[in-house]
Amino acid sequence: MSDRRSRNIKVAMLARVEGEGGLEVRVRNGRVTDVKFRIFEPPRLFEAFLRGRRFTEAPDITARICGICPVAYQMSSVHAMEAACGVTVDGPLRELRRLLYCGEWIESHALHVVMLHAPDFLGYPSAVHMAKDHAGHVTNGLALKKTGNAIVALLGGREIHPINVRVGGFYRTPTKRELHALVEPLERAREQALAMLDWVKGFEFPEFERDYEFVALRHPLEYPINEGRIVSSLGLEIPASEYERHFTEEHAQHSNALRGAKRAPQEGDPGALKPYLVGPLARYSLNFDRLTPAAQQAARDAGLGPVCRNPFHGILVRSVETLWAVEEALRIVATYEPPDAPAVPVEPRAGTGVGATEAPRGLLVHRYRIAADGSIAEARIIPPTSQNQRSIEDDLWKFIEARLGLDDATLTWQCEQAVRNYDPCISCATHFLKLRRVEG
Amino acid sequence: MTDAPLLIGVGHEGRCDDAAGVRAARLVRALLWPQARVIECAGGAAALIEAWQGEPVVVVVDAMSSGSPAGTVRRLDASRGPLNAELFRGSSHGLGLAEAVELARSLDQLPPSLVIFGIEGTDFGLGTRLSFPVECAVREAALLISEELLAARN
Repeated sequence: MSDRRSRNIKVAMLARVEGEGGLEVRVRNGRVTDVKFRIFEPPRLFEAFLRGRRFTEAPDITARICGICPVAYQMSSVHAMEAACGVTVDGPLRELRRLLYCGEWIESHALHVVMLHAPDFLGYPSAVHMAKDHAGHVTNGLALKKTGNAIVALLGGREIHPINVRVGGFYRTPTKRELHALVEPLERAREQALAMLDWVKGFEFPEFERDYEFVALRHPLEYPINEGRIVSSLGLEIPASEYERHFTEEHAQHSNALRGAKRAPQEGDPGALKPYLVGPLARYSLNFDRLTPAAQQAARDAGLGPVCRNPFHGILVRSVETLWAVEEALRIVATYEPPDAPAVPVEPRAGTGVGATEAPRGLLVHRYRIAADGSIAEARIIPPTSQNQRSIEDDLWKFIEARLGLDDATLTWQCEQAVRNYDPCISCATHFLKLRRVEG
Repeated sequence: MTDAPLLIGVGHEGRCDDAAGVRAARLVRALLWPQARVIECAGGAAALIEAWQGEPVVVVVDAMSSGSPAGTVRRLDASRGPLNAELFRGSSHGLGLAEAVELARSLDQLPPSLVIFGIEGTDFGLGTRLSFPVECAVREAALLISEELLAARN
């Protein structure tokens, strides 16, 4: 075995993440000297594709950024366009959007908890291997995912890359009867979500906490999905339109994705930047009081407090959020009254609009500038994995230093597990416009 | 037609030859209409298991990336033994057709008869056109699959 005080840990291709990324850690004389979360999936140029297209095309084009969270892209884009055009969508259409988003949370969280992350905790190389010994839990997770898919298929027109969302609402809205058909699977899903949480709370979690600055949406009444002000655990509270005044993105040579950072000007260093955390941990910790009573109780039963700073507990928080999303979906289905029209009219006008919603992996910000004729003049999309890249590296830096006594194989395993705490979506993170390479 | 075997065409139409399975399935639908039950699937493991749940006879067609010459068509009987994951491209999170088959086998959710046709691709870049050898192979595969489905019905 190599000298544990000086070694390199390299994961050429991370498994069980969406997209192509790797990991490199350098340790010298018992100190971590470098950590790189490498994203080498090629840039995908979506912001360039959007220029010159009609403002109404943004939800369909941006849905193609990700096969796991297309609803998030649709929602942030329609909110941004409606903000630019001075339109507010409320009533049943707002509720249906929320229901659609619940479907995506359920399917995305169930996939990550059971198929992608649980094998790390139980010592299996993949869900396929794990299924031999935990068939009931895998079947349970797949059933949950199926219910999430059913919601997205009903409201979105199909499960992947939905096509029924438009600026102003939907192309078609469901009847009460169609929506009522979701009640039975959702009732089962509530039990399945509780069973999933009951399973994962028995896992062993590394003792590890970070002093993150959490950033998420917060709404006066609701657990946030598609509306709210952007807040942080250090007291920031801003409308989405001010996001870029407080946050920025930078390019690092080792990554094909821009990296988010919070502006933290200091005396002598006005351009200082610092990492922050978006995603389930941040959302939960800033909005515990907005969960349903049953979800709050389930969280307490799983050993979670109202604030969660251990990133390995993300699997617990995702399970709690899954339960919450099922309950919220049931509430919406029970109170649904079909709208008079599937959409409100939206007339373009010259202006800029920002939309911020909570994708399963965290805050997703879209900003568009549109011309008076409705063409898109500028587009900016800031997905959660981009925002979390610095936090991922900082987690690894601190996590590894306390575990340098572990052998290479165990430490590499735990590093991969630490990255998967974030459920990183590399395909989302490489959507951006310009790839700048700094040579030399 | 619920007693007819189910054909699942797998693939992504924005990734050139990755669409081979979907294109072949559409061709089969046209060849056997109205006798074929055909669905299309983007290829995630969960979606595939859901699609074939409760089906006694299933045929799946997907693009391969095994190193064989482009356009090679292979028939694999997945109900008889493990499927080599190296033959097929992974879907999102690396959970594609091969993982779906082995996961379903572990969960006792594998159809009693599951035949897979693979079409070797060469270009999986962005785009909607099939390469020439794959375009030809799609027709060959469609004929073979049609024979397979008709034989299964009989």
